[in-house]
Amino acid sequence: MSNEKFEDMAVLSTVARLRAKNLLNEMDANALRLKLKSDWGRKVFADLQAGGPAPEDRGLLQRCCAALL
Amino acid sequence: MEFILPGALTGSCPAWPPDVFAVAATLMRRTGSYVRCLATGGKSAVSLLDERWPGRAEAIGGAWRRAICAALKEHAGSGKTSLESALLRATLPPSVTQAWSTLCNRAGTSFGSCTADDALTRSLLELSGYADEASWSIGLESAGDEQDEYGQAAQLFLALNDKQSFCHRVHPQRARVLGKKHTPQQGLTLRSLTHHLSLCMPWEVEPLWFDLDSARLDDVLNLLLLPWPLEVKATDFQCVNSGSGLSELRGDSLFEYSRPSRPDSEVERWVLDAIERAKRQVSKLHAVVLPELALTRSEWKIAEAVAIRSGVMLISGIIDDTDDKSGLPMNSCRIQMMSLPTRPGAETVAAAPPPAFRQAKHHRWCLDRHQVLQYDLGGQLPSALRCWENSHIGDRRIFFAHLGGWLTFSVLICEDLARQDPIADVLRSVGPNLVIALLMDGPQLAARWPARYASVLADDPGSSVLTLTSLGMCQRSRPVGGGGAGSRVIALWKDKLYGTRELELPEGCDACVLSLARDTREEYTADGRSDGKATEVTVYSGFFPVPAGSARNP
Repeated sequence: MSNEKFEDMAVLSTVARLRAKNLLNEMDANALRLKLKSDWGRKVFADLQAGGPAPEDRGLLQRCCAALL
Repeated sequence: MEFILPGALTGSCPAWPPDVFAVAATLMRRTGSYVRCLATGGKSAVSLLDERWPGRAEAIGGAWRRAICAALKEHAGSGKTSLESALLRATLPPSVTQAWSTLCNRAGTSFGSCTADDALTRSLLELSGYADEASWSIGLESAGDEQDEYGQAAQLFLALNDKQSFCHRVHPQRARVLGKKHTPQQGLTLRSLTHHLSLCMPWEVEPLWFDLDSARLDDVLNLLLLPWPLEVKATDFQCVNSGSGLSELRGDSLFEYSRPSRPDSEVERWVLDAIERAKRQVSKLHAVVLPELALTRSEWKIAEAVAIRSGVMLISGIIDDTDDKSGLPMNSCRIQMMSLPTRPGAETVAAAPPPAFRQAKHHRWCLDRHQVLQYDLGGQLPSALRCWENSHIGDRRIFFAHLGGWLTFSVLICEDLARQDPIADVLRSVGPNLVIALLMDGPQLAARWPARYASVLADDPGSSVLTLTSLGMCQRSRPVGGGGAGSRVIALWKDKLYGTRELELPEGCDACVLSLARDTREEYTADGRSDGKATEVTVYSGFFPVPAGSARNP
């Protein structure tokens, strides 16, 4: 068991919080994307940027990110 | 300065307070000049900071934070500039830039002369104080509190630093700055100087900081302690051939502790049954905690699923873990902390289970003759040799998780509490308000070693400590002289306000609920700044033994 997905959730939560505050610039978003370690993390990041993650991923992220409620 | 922050001497003052703190604090730690924050009275009274300093630091730190928030609000975001560029637009308070200039102008001062240089030392103390005041609640902003732009920027930099530091321009391999929960109220170290920022040197231990924006925790926290296994057999301990012969050369031996995994259905029933029985003692449960080496990986999966369904955290030592890279056996613990109930309005679509966090043990357990006899293992392990736990020691990491608005906790595994190096420095710097130590040990009596080390952490930095062992090891313990034989003291609690409590399971009980409460206290830095009674202390609030159920126990 690795901590990749756990750590990716922290990054994705940051993305969601910054977006909600309209503070996420494209450069910062790209820098955060490079910190993602799992395929799942990169997929959810793309979904976040494209409009919103799938309900099951959204439900998961809501456990550590109120910005996605 | 140039090592910590390349370009520091040629550029302007860094706009981001944790960067400034990293430079000032590293210099103060290297030179010891922070000791001059104290005023000494008498005829030749000397003080670098006057009585107006606490108010001035608060005002200037607050102005610094507001300047950053204003710059980020105006210049950062989609279609605007990056947070880094926006930070450069912040207009720093003149007191900050003046102190930075003073520091840069004295960059040629030798380390040995720093402390005697009043202007240099004053500038270091001021920069540290301003940065600390600007950084209130950094990394502690979860649970729905409206996070300002400063807090958002801190989250970004933490993520970009792989959760190891809140700095922006200071690389985490040069200095790390994290949040903080306790300020030591005794002695005088660099840790005594700040409420909100901690300096963690980039040495071998990798700290990881997670600020989980989970639903707010109640002010009472109920932990179900399952002291599993309830029985430990001598035959669970076996000698292991090291393969290399190195251990034998030293006159040492290796051992492993193992047992077969229990059937999934039994594990599920045991955990569910324990939670249900605990809920007869307290209406709400927040976490289930098991000792070191309590569950196999497959048992963890079952217990984790139950914990997620029940909306409680799960913390347990793992018996049969292996290192991902080498495949070698590894003593570890797992922490499922995203299983707490979600907020109203959250998605209800069945999702994959939230990921748990894994942390490895930093030291091997060594069973010497004394312990082999104490645990009655002489028929399994050679008492004439030192028997080392056959566990791979890899990357040393320690996590700090802030969740629910007030709880910042860490988990240690057995020896990691006793051998506080190399994690002591980072643990004391951050001062989490709860440290949970998972043990494979004898009874948790106040006279034994876990209580001594818990006291050390309760004294400095002020952390509350829970130590938990298995009933099986408790019952195996037969100390020379008989003290504690047959004991059922499976856990020990220590907090700085109300002291030590031995938690003893009465006969007929196989679990207990430990109730903890959030208390608030005022702490002061050594330079006289108050935190406004904002320090949250986790204190003992009750102990409720859980009568054994009808299900056969593990």
